[in-house]
Amino acid sequence: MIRRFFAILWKEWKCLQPFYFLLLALFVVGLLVVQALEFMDEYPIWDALAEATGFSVGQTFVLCIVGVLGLLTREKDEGILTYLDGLPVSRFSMYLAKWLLVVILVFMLDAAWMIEGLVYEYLSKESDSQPTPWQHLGTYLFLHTFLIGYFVSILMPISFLRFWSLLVIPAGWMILSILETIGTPYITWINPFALIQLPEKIDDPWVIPWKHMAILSIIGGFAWFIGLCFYGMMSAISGRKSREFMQSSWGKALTGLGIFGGLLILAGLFVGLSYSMVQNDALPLETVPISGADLREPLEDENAIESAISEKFQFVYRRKMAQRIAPLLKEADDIFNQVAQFLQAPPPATAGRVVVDFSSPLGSHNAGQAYWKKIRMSFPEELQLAEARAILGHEVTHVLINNLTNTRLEESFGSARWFHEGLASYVEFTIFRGKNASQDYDHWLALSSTWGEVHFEEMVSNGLMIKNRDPNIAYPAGMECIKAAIDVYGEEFPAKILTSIGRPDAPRKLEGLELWRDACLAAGYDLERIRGRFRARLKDLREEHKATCESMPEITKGKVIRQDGQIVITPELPEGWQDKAPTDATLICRVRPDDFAEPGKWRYSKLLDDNTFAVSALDFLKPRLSFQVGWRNKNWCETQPIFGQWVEAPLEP
Amino acid sequence: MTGVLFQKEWQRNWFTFLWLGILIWLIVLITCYFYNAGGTGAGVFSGIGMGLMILMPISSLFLGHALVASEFQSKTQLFLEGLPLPKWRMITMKLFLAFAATIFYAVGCILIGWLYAQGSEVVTPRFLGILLSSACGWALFSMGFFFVTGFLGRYRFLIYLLLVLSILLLISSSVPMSRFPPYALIDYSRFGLEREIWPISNLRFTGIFIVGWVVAAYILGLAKEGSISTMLGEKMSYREKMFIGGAIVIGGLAISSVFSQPKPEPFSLPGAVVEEWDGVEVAISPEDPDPDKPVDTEVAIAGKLARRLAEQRDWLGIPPVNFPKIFIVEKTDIEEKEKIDWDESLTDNSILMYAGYREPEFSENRLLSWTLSQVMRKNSMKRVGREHRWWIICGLEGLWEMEQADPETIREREKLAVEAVKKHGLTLNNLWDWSKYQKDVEWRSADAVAWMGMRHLMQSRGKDIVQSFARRTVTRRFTRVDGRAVVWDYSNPVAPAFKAATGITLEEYVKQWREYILSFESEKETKP
Repeated sequence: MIRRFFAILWKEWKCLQPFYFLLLALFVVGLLVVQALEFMDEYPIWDALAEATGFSVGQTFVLCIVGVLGLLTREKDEGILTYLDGLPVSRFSMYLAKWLLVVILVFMLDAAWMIEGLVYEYLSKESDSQPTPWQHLGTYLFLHTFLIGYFVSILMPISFLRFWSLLVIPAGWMILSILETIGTPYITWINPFALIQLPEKIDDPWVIPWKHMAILSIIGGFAWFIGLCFYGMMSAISGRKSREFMQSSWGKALTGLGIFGGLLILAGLFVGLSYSMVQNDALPLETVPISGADLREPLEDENAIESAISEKFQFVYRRKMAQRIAPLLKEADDIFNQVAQFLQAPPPATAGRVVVDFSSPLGSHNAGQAYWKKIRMSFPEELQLAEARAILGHEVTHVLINNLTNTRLEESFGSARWFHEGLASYVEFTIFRGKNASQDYDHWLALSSTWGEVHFEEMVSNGLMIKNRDPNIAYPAGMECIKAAIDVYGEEFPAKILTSIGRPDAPRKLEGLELWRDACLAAGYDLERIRGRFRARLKDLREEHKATCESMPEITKGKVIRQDGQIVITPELPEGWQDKAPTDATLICRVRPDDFAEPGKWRYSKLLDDNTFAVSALDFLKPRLSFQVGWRNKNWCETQPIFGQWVEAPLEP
Repeated sequence: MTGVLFQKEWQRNWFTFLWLGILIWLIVLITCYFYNAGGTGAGVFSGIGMGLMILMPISSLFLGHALVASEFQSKTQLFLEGLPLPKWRMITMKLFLAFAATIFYAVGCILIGWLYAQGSEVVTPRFLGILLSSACGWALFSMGFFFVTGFLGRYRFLIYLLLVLSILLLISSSVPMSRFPPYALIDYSRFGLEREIWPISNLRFTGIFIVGWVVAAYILGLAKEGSISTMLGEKMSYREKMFIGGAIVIGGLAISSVFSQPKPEPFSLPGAVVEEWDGVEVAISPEDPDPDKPVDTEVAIAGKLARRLAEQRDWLGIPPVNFPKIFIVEKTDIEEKEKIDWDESLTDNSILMYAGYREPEFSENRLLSWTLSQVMRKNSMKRVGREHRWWIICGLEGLWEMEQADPETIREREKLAVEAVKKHGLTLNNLWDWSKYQKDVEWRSADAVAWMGMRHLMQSRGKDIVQSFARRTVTRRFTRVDGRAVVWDYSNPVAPAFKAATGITLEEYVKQWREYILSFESEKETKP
């Protein structure tokens, strides 16, 4: 029997010859690409893995698709299945051989890449290099191999759809992404692309996600079995009736409907089941919204949509808001003109109307959002006119920045967020708010930069900012940087720099310091002087608020445990912190499952009586997480707590 | 007869038409919901724009396959050609159905958005017109493309792969894809947000493309039996798929590797003091932005630095044309006691140094030596920073710094070296493991050790020998990150270069070097 199995394995090996030549060609190309783009003796394996893990999993998935498509149906299409059925080999053996061979071939490519990486690792060794992380490499290869097996198992039954599988695979992936985006509980456990998460540092332990693997194994095993059943039932020569039915439009429609319906039902079941497992009443904690959200309400008369037009705006609002927003509508054109005048916006950039949408829901942390010629803004009942004017001014600045730069900054948003928010905040505070209104921002920035200097290099990399500290520092730090630039080059700076960024011959998609060096040079400015002035201003701020800063220390250590469906964080608080802290000041904590988690997935907790923080464990399925402790003070950071750095911590059992 | 043709196409493909419509609208409906529910997007039409961008090409691919490619694959076109019916009518019917279906899908998507956005958008006729024209323009373009490629049978997948690779390449390059029609019609940053300006220019260009596809479709479709379409229409074998797929991926990777090199951008310091000497340009920018403040200090430092840099450049044999521009920015809050720092992020041939040149600890000699070591790092794409060569740079740095240093500084530096060697020794292995040695003895002491090694070499064998050794090991210029530098490194190891320059082995020299350093200890003991 074993011999027969090996014989069928050999037959599959011969059949898959073009596939393994493709894999070989990919390996050779990978080899050449490294020679063409890297110094191979400065290419440690861990750095290469950390850089390419996501890409590598995606690539493995694509290779599995290429290997599997046609694998089961080709023989029937070419009429070989009749011959194979005549041999003393079971369909099970054939199915297993096919599965095994694709897994082995894709694994071999991975293994070959790993060996290549190890050669570079050897060449890159220096006396102070980290030791080769053998254990991590073993874990990586193990998880990767598991994923190959999983992908092939899932893809084999789908491959029966032939051409249509090219639609089903992206659809399945899309459904998974949507479930992930809406934060469906437990979704991580069915997402194979989230299985491999390298430890932050090379010497951190890598805890194998056994639970995740067990769940994927069940799904993969089930799919494998379904595939086997299909393959077992597949007749070498279809019966006339069944063939006719399957080839008819109704047959195809039913098959397609079955698959898509199945996918949707499975997704629906998963969502329903996972939400039903959430026990909200078990959570004694309050989630801290930064400001109130204007959630969608059922449409009634008072919720009917109305619109109003001014010279510069078209407003969309609900009938019940009409009276509340009327004073703002009257002043809106004036607000627009003030901003346009400050930015010296020429007529083409101010032409047309900007839509202001007061009616649709807005993220809970936002007072407004700006897009190309559109602003979304919430207008809760308690919002004062002065505040609304300032918000509108802030958002109009964003719109005009987009217009004046011809949306060039959107191409490099990660490098430009500080500028967008900084300039908009500058306009908001200098034109629309009173003197000393930016005191809160000053406190915020003083405290943040006391905890850790705010470097311009960090500001021009939003990703780095999100990874390491509070990304909202972009507001006060950006404003301070704009102030520094205005100190050096005068009030003309914003207008001139915007013209420079939007110039038609500017290089596109520049990132980081390069973008700002280019913009400043084209405007005749010296970025280094602005940076110098920015540093000096930060220093002055720290001096000015020294006493406050000393009374609110940064919390950077703590233990994290999972307990009774909650993640409990015990921060290491300095002795006597409560005595030193200002009255009304309290601590707050937010937690994220990983470095790349969107702010919507961050969970908040206030300090509990036993000096711990706790959030629901529902979204934290990995053995590590990050937390960030911040301060809240009724006087100046009630609505915008000030957070320190993100602290990555293992989840202790 | 037209009715019969319509009936034939409908009977054959109604399932595809229907199924694609249901799927597209379902996905758009889900997208609308999530775009609105999250409260973070620009509105439902923005989500629909994203959906159209992906879904229209996918649906067109399927329609193109069903209406054109499958006809050739199953050879049913031979039967059709046998009918007493002009071919153009069949093609026209297929084109009509393809375009009608795709417009139906696109309009349906916009209408779904309209219904969904009742609570948040004012949909004026003009706005609706802009949305519909943009969506239909994109949909017709996609359909036209996939209709034509349907005639290319087996090789259409090759074209698709090439297209996907080209788009990926363009997106990753500096080309602003979102500004070109037809892509500009559904650009996510504008679609559903522009309410007043008709995308006339984009529609015009897209229209030209569509007409082009239609003409191409007729040319391919009307060609006689045995023509290219029929020949190509056959199914591709497994071997062909793998071979062509592999070839395209490999080709794409090869092209992308050429395109992905960073572009240098000229750097300067507007308003800085600039001094030039024999082709070396040094610019210094003070921290104080006051333009009326005297710049005597800057002029003096820049002038002196330019002269000395030019001397050392010639000594090292770096061609003037390759020597970078030097920019120095005053920075007062540098924590390191040397009060000098640098920025390695410049991509062009420039060096940016930071210096607190008004601070008492600042030394012009050190600025010179550190600037030169940055020049050599830049010249070699940081290859001289590899530890088996870095000790040479550290030694040369010391020579440049101490050339005009006062005796007290020299004595202090000698003392550092003696203490380091006494405590940690000095062997050939320490040179190869220089990073570890620097860590063990502290980098300043390691620098002192390296300097004394170079000084001893200069005193015992002459400055020309040091020059020859430096030129053989650390002045090689590299301009690209690729394997050639590594090959050069391995084919020009340091130890044989040392022997060739000095006549003795490096191992032998290290012994002399150690004894030389330790001799300063005995001098110290004998001269209390």
